[in-house]
Amino acid sequence: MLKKQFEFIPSDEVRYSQNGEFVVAKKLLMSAPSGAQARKAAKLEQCYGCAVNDQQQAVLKIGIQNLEKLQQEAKKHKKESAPDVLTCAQVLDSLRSANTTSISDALDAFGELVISGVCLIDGKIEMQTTHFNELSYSEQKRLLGEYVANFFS
Amino acid sequence: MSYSPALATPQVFVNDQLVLILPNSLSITNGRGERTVRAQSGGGGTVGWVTSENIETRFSDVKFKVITTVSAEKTFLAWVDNGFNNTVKVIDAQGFTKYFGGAGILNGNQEIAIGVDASFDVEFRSQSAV
Repeated sequence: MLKKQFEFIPSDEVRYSQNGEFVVAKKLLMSAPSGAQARKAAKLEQCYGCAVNDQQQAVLKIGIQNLEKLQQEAKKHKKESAPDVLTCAQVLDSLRSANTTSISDALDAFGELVISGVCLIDGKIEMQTTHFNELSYSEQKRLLGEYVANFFS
Repeated sequence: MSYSPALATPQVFVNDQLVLILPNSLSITNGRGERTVRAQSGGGGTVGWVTSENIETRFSDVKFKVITTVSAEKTFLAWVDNGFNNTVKVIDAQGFTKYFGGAGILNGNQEIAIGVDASFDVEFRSQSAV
């Protein structure tokens, strides 16, 4: 069953306005993109797709001749366990080493998606640019990585 | 010779919504309170100082001008109706961020000028800036 939501606990303080006070957010509730956000989501997915493609091209260029044999051997020894799960670190790694796209492009696309309604601060208030900008660079990357890993794998 | 740009184009958010303001019209006070100093004489030329802080002045003001439009006037009235449950945030990309909680418009009878070049003042009073 496809995941629909996940919670992200920010390390940085994200403050939002509530009844005349600034409240520090405890969590960000991230939802899968809906049809209304399809174009924004597609931009981000395309970005990630390019990064993965670049990685695969790089592997081919290095010319690992016995790759197929190695993959078969790996499958033989692989225990029957849960299928490979894409992680945040893997997503960021792909983006970092991409040629045709970049973390910057991904962050631009993700920034547009985040403020379109997929993120609820403390499950209540839609995230806006002013909130997103309160996250540090590393936190924005982490959130981006988690989002892609959860919904675009 | 070092170069540091002036704090000239900060963003103003009221209740987390970006507000378009007249350039160079924004001013804030930090709400640290007013202090007084009085001198005391110890005789023979000895002087001592007594300082005090007036806690009654520990509040902040955020003032700016807005061009008179239909939506600006509507938004202003919404802030007035919200009492002291507004928040104001002033941010500049140079690393300047001030939060003003419990903000309210003091003058519900603020004069709203109407005309081609018209603008009106918005003055919030709030808890001390953080």
